Parts: sequence; structure tokens; C-alpha cells
Amino acid sequence: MKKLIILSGILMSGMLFSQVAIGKNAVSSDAVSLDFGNENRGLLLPWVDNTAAVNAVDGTMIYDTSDHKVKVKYAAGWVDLSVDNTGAADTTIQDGKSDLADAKVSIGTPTASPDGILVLEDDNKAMVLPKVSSVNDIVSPSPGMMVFVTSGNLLAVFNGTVWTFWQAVD
Amino acid sequence: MKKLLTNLGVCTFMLGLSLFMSPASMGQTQFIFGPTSGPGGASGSGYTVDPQKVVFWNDALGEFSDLGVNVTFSLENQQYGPDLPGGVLEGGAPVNQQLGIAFGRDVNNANNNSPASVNRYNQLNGIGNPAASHLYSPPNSQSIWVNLLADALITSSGNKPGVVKTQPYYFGQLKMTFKDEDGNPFPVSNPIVNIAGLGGWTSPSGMYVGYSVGMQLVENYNISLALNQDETPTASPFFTINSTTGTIENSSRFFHSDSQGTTGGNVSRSGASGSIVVNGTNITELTFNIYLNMDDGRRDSGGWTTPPGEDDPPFATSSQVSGDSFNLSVMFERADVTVSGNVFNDPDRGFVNNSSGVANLIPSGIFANLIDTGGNVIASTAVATDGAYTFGTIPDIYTGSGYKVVLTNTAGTAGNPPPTPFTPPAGWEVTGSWNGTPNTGNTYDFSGSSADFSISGVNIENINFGIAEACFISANTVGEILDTEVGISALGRDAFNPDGWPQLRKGAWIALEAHTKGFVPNRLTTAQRDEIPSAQLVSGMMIYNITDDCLQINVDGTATGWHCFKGRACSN
Repeated sequence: MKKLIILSGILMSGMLFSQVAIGKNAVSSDAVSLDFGNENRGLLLPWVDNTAAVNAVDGTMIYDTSDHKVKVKYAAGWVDLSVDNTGAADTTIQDGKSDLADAKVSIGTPTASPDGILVLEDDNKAMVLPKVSSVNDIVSPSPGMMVFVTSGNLLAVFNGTVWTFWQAVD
Repeated sequence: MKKLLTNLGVCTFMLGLSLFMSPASMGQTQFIFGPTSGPGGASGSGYTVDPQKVVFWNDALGEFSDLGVNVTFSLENQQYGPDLPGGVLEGGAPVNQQLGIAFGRDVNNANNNSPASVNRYNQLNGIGNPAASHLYSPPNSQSIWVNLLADALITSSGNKPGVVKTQPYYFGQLKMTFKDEDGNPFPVSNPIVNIAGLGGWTSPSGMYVGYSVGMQLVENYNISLALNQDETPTASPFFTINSTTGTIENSSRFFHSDSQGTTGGNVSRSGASGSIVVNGTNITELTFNIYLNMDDGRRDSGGWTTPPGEDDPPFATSSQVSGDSFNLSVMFERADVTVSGNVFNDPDRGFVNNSSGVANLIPSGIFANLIDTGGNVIASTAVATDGAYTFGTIPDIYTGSGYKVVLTNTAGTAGNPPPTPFTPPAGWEVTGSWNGTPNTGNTYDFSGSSADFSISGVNIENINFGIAEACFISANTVGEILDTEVGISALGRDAFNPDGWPQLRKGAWIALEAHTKGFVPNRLTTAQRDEIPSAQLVSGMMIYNITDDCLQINVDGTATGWHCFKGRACSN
């Protein structure tokens, strides 16, 4: 019934899973859609050309290579999570290549929308962010990285130059 | 200067007058009818029952209201006229002048066929010669001319059957509606209504008949007489009000003299004038019932009543158009307001307004702009390096909702949109904004714009912005660099992978790759989120909360551990 996939290597488009663990043998609970192991690693968001190029539902997260910022789509529009303007990224290996129109990996029961390269579809599960105790635990991260910092309970995003931190508001 | 009365203070009753007194008001701007006839007022002369609009004059600035605040006088529920319950007016007045209450019309003592024609916008003291102390508004300010014809109550052979002089006759309603130039209701507080020249008479067969317009406020506000600077009421003798029933009348209505202010119980054509305060806030409409009050059957200066067996003399003669004309204006005062706040150091970047109001250290080069509902600058001021800013007396009648303060890097220009966008000084970041006292909570708007607030005649304080030195952290480059072994790509990569992706990306569990596609976490409403069994919650879980429109992270693996992550933060 429940299909658990332990991923390695490059995934092909059109794949779908119900729960996924990376770097460990099992997800933490039945309510987890995507889970990670204990190494000091983050999650690398896709490096999109710009926000206008993305057909995004609210909640979509990207690394925008036009201004080198991590962004999330809210109801009112895209929100800049990096804030700092000094981000940088070397896009050489994806320049000149185009997206396959139907490229999409779903975790959970797929729907026509939302669109995305990786879409966590279920409305009864949540991902568990990769966790580190400090962003310094990640050595030479690539731009577009997102990680949860357990010391202080902070969401951290990396723009290629600096980490930016966010905290709970209530 | 005269004083505005409010319903604060001591209530005193004397001689049937109800007075409310208050300390002298400070920092007030009066909005009155203009000092001369002109663009602010109704135009033209002669009979009309069409609504008459007057734009207020800002007496402090000597100009018409910047917002075009105006009052419209309209006549409603007329009782006398063709096809109306009271029937047509007696005499030969043209049909188009035959409604009982009208603007720009006057009596005619020499002709029964046409009322006299007068300016609809007329000097306030133009009827009955009231003294300056009898009216709150400057006596040479303008007013609307209103007329009520007693001829409605007679026929060619005398009084209409059943008409007696011992009861008031209801003629209809006069309504005042306050609006801004865009037609939106404009609330005023404690408006003052100036009424000049109540009282009229006619003399059929050598017998004098007196009467006077009376008014009664329909809305449930207490009224009081306005006061002069020396605290005497702004009213002539016999201008009488009842504070609780809202009635305004000329208490001496039998004929004696043309002039106001005479004593001895004998009055008075045009003799009663005064100003009343309607004690209420946020008033957008005032309605007065309009009556013709009678002289109780007196017909002469001696106060004699009609002898038994004789008919009361009629309300007009066959050679006159008779009635009562009076002038009417309304005004209000508004407290001048300031808007202030501060840009404060907010190192915790949290929800609470940590501003102490002083002792902040703020980089220069920040300007605060007060923005109107149209998005344009009302005023712009530099934020001091201790963080304080204040907009002094707001230059005109800015009242209502939809105002905000916006930070800019250069001074804004009044009447134009503020310079945009705001960029915090190098090394600093905005941590949010807060409105008012007590703390309303961080808006988590980092653009340097406050939430909207309302201006209602009291000073606005603590429109605050947090600012903190940015604490971005450079990446650590010392240690073992981890290749990324898992990837999902939209670019059609296959096993033959000359670019070395995703291993080329460092330090991630998984790399996503697309030019036009994002990463979408689970999207749940708050209700769906709460259906996750608490035993299955894990610290570090993240969703996009559809209900709250935020990325929401569970910080402790419990049902109460979910929080929106919209606040700026620093890592230790």
C-alpha cells in the first residue's frame, strides 16, 4: 500500500511516489512526504530564469538567477527571501538547455496543477526540512540552498554569497 | 474667537436655555461658509427646490477645503404644493413656485401673484440684522436662503377650513448631507447650525398676524446653544431651543416690530437668530423637520386673543405673498492633528513593538512621507538620527481611513507619489512596521510602508518602523565539501552526464534543476494541517499554509508548534 522509495541518482520526469526518504531508510512518520538523513546537507531549489518564467501556485519556491535570490510565491506575489543583493551563481551547465515541458516529479497523488519540477502533492502530509545545527556545518554550499537551522529554529536560504535567516512570527 | 461647545462639561439650565460649556478648544480649524458669495456656494437667485451645495471654507488657511468637503441642503417630504397633502398655495404664484418650502424665494408685500426673488446664497446676517454676538459664524459669512410660505394655509376667502393658530403646521424636511469632493460621506463632529431671521407676519384688515418657522432635529442628538468667547450664548432674545427634543423656535411670535432684540415680550418679524451645536461625532447627515409655528391667536401688539365669535385673521391678504424667510448655514471645527512615529533599532526583529521612542541610532538619509488615500504625498519629513519623525499640523482636513506613512530615500513632493522603491541604508534592513499604541504587532512588511490608519481629529502616534543592522552570514568554506548525489532535472539529462550534474552542486541532499519550474511543498489549509495526528508531527516539518498564506514550519513536533516564518532573523 505505502510505497517508500529511497532515491539515488538522477530521477526521470513523470515519476511519482507516495513518500520519499533521501539519505535514510525510512521517513519519520506516515505524515511525512519528503524526509532527509542526518548529514549536514540542504535542499537545492531549481535555478529558474526569472519569476515571470514560472507558472507558479502559491507556495512555490525558486532560486531566481536573474537577481540571485531565493523566492517564494505568496498570494500577493513573489517574496524575496534572500534580501541581500550580492548573490551569484554559475549557470553554465544549464545554459542552452531547455525544460522538457512535461518534466515533473510528484510525491503524493499527482494533479494537473500545480506545476513544478518537484511537487509535494498530498494535502495530508508535510515535508521535513533538512536540518543542521548551524549553516556553518554546510561547507561551500551551492546557490539556492534551503535548510532548517535547529539552533534558534531558523529557516536559512543561501543566495550564492550569504545566508539569510527567517524566524517564526507568532 | 468663539468657542466650540461639546457635550463634555457642566450642564446648566436657565430661562429654558440649555448650555453646555467646555474649556477653550486649542488647535482648531474652522470650516465655515465662505466670506463672500463665490465658487464655494450655491449660485443664482429665485425660487428653486433643487438641492443646494456649499463647499466649506477653511478659515485658518483662507481657502476652500482642499478635499472639497461640502454640504448639500435638500428639501424632502414637502406637504404643500400641487398634488401634495396640504394642497396648492393661495394666490397667483406661478405653478413652478408653489412648493411650501423653497430656496431663493421671499415674501412679496405688494403683489399676490409672484413671490420675490432673492439670492440663494446670501450673507448670514442679511435677514433681521442680528448682532455678531447672536451667531457663532462670522456674521458676514454666507448662508442659504430658505423661505416658507404661509399662503399655504389660506384660501382666497381666508384661512383653510380647520386651520387654527394654536398648533404648529408641518411643512416638510430640510436635510444637510456632508460629503467630500468625490461624493463620499464626510463625517463631522459637533457641527454648528447658524439660523438667522426667524419670524414673519402679515396684516390683513389692519390686524397683525405673527408666525415663525420652527425646526426640530430628527436625528437623536442633543443640541445646545453655542457660546461666545465671554460664554454668553450665541442667540438673540426669543431664540429658544429644547436640548432634548431638538426643537428650535422663535418664542415670541406675535407681531410687534421689524427689528430684532426688542424686549417686553413683543416681537417680531425676523427677530430670532442664533447658533446651535449638534453634540455628536461622525455626523454625515442632519435632518430638520420644518414647521410654521403660530401666534396662538394673538392678533395685535397687546397680545390680545381673537375675541369669541370672531374668526382668526387669515395668514395673508389678497395683495401679499406672505411667509417667513430665514438664512441658514452650518459649520464645524476640527482639531489639527499631528502624525508621528519613529524608526527604531529592532535587533530581535520580532512581533512586538520594541520602540522606546528615544535613544535609537538610525542612519541618516531616511525620509518619512504621509500618504493620502490616492497614494500621493501630503507631507514629507526627514527622520532624525534618533529615529523620530513628526508631521506637524496636517495642512487641511484630512479625515477618514486609508492614510499611511511610507519611508523613502529622498524627500517626497506633496501631491505626487512618493519616490520608490525604498532601499535601506547599506548594511541595514527593515524589520517590519507597527501602527499605534498599544502594540498592534509587526506587519512584517519590509518595504518601508505602514499599514493603513485612520485620521479622525486626534493625534496619530507610533507609526513605527523597525530597522536593524543586516546579519547575513557568508558561507563556510572550510571542511569537507559534499557532492550532491540526487537530482531531479527538467533539462533531459541522462546517464551519460558530461556536465557532472548533480554532483557539481555541493552540500545538498537533492538538487532540483529547471528553467521554468519551481519546488512546491505540500499545500495545506490550517484545517487540513490540524488533521495530521500529533503523533506523526516531526520537528522541521514545513508546509505552505493556504489559509495563512505563508511558509509554515513546525518547530517542536507538537500540534502547537506550527508557525509562519515571515520574520527577519539573525543566526547566533
